[in-house]
Amino acid sequence: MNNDNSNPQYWFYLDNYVHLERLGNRVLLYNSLTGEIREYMDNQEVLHLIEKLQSPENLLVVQLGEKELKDPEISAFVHDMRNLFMGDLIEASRSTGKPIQLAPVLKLHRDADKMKTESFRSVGVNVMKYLDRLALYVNDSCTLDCGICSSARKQFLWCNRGNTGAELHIDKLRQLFDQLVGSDLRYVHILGGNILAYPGLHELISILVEHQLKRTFYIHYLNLAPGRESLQNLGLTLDNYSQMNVLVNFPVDEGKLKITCQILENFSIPVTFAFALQSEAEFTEAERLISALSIDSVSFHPFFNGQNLEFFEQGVFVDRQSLSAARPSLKEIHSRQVMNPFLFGNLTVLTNGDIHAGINDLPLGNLSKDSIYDIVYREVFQGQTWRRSRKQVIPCRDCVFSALCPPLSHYEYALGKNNLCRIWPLNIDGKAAN
Amino acid sequence: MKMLKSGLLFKSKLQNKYFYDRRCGTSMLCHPLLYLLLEKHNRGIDMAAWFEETVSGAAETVSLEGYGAVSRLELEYYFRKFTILRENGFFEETDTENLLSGRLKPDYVRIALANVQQVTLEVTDACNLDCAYCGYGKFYQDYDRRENKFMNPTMAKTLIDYIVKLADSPLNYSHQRDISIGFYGGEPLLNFPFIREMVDYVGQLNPRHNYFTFSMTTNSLLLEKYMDFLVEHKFNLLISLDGDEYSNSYRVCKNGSPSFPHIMRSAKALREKYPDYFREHVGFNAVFHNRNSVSALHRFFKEEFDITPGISELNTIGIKDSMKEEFRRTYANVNESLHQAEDYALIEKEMFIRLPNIRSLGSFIDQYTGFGYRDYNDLISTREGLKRIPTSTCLPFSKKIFLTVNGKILPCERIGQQHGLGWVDEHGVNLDFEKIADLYNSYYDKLKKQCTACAAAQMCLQCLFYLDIQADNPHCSGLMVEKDLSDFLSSHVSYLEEKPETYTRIIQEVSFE
Ligand code: SF4
Ligand code: SF4
Ligand code: SF4
Ligand code: SF4
Repeated sequence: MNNDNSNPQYWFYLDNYVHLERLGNRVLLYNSLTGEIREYMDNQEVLHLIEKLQSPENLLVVQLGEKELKDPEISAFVHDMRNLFMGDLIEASRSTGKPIQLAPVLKLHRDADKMKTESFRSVGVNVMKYLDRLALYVNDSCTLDCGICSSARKQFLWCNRGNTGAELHIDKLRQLFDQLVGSDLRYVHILGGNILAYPGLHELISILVEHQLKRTFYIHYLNLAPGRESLQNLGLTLDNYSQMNVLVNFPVDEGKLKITCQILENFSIPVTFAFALQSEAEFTEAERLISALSIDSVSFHPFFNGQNLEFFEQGVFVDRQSLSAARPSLKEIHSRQVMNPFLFGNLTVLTNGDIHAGINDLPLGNLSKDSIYDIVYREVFQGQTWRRSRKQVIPCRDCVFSALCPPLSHYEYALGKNNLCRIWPLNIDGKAAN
Repeated sequence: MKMLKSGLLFKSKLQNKYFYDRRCGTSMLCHPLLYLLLEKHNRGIDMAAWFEETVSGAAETVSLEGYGAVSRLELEYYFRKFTILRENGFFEETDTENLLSGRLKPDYVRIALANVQQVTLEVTDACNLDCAYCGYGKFYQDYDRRENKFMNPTMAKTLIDYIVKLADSPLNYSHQRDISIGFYGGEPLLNFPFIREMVDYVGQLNPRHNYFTFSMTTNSLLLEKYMDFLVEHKFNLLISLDGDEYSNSYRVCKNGSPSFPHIMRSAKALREKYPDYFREHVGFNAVFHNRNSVSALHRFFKEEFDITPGISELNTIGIKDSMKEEFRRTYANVNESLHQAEDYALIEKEMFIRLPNIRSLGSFIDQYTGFGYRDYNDLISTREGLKRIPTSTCLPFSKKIFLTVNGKILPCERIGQQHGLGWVDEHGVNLDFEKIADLYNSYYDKLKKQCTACAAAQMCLQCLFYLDIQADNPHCSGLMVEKDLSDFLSSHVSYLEEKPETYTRIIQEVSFE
């Protein structure tokens, strides 16, 4: 090493809580402790340095002399890294040789793609442990006629009317849950149509109680008022594992919503009011109702109706600020590189028995023909949904933000594009793009 | 409550500075000035007050003991970095008592058995060799008497039926996964009729979620006679051979003559007749001792079979007092031998994860960087609040189940046979999951005091059956104080400083089940 006094040497390194993504001539650095983001584009000096940092022989540490540090690009870069606590310089004279950084490279021991290529691996090991949530569409009958009905459930958990009279037979459901004792299934969502009209509801509840599964019932508020009695008969309160989501969409019949609130007032299980929203105005109106009716627990679900892109651009689309503010951890970033942490472990069973991992993807099989083991296995090893990361879709796979962005949701289907962001196309001028 | 400092500082051989944070589970390179602040913090100094005091009214530069002159700005910078780390949960204390308060529940044992990956059958305790270091030989005292018995097929079938019934139940959370039937001895091929009968038997079972594969460790003396059968059923074969003629000289026939020529002849015959099978399903295991060396092993197997062997050291547990001296002379350490080898670099490159030092580096990378995840669930779960069961002992049957020739059930074949967890007899399988859980929990309790004070507790590698666990106050030989752990971390980081590319290679190539 050159320890010449005229050119003192330093070890320049990156901290390993920093996520680094280099794609072609673009580089993104993200500090997972502070949320700071830096991007560089077409900056040859920086690109070259990053390339060196990333090489397996360097493990995120390279030697820089005072002279190299005088290069304006390098100097600015090092300065940025230090200022943002993403990297640092150590005087080489403080030790007797080059240090390393334990680079934040994800190692997933049971990576499904890798397992398939390694003949000695037990591929199907523990797959049922991946099943976490089930959404059951138990029936499709409903006497209402909401405007959002046919497409809402393709965007978020919501009821859906088919009025075909189809139902999931309770015996089939019992068989299903009996098969799932060894899985790690924790949550079950029960949706219709109007689930209060589902004849097997009472028995389904006792099955879920028996299996100690957390459960959420989805009922439209307009279906609740006349259903008061059936509600009381449900035995929903047998244990602490029940929750109800009351679905509300606009236009809202305030009087009926008020009645619903009154019915639920003495109801002992937790209730959340889920609002489907199509515009800013609906959001404002929802806020008014929530306050007028003293509703405490709410969730909001933007609904894309084909015309309200702007509402989505404002409320759903991500940008650099929102990503930085969300401050995903390094672990979240790692998970977003190889899977869809949002959809992973979820299955949806429709009234015709079709089982989907993602409701917008092709069914994996049918409750009446396939074992749930086969379904889960299929999804883990050949599936479309659980392991689909932004790294696999256009244009995100060419974007340095792909691991920072939230996982793919159902909205990408609804809007017909994956880049629900104000970032793509990347058009930064070299340095600070915030 | 037993609290341990979360941040552990260590230096590499080259005097570079690093820290490991127990709570965050990650290790990183550290600027010397930050290191100094961390040292102070670890000594219990209130850093905010210290910082105030040091910079207040000070001139532009401050002189810090153990570091030298530092500008006020620099100091502010590293104090800020320290604060950011603190805000993100670094350098907290960890409550190891709470962390290690996990208990084994009877249901876990049942579920583990429903998911068992390997059923190892001690086909016979008889052997046609007389190896000096045999686990059932003169050095050891912790096995049942050897009586040249052959396993009763009915007994083995009873156990397999029992397991298949559980594996077919919803307690099985795997699917399309193999259950490996391992034939173990003595020398298993001495009881070939049993092996054939078992292969036929499981062939007609049709488990819902599993299929069977077969594996065997053999001294290969009878290999030529039975190889067609083994190949037909795709046995994964591990041949015991300690190297060339001299290296293999502890492995002698009953009449005292060397086994080497016999082993070589049959192994070569197998390769000749079934080259594809040989490539895909055959491995060698060499026991390491004072008559072989890593370098010689590497060369020998490469030249003779173009294979890298597995190497295992002699088991140091359960040695008779009277034999301790002779055992000590026979025992040799793989790492030492590796370091003496002239072609060290080449051996290491080619044998890689088969070498204990690289395996240890692999577990360091897996456990101390924070970037290793078992599976997808691990990647999305929060580790926060997780309660661990102490020690690194596998939960009973989570890896395998071992049936001895006498009908005893053990969690594996590598531990003393006094640790039976149940048995099989003419009435069936006797496993009391409640009792097994109680037994394990009582062992954890015995070690609890040591484990909660142990610097390695979170990443323990100790199997409790390798300790004198039935004693009233067993002593854990793996127990680490902070200094031991920092030495351990330092040695691995020092290795990586010397050979940084190994890091990436391990991540790319090595997966743990
Ligand atoms: S309540 Fe639900 S199922 Fe009925 S019409 Fe409205 S959205 Fe459709
Ligand atoms: S293109 Fe995709 S990955 Fe890139 S910012 Fe937009 S949504 Fe995120
Ligand atoms: S040695 Fe210990 S940890 Fe390893 S398989 Fe046997 S019982 Fe389990
Ligand atoms: S090494 Fe020994 S003392 Fe330390 S945690 Fe493991 S079993 Fe306990």
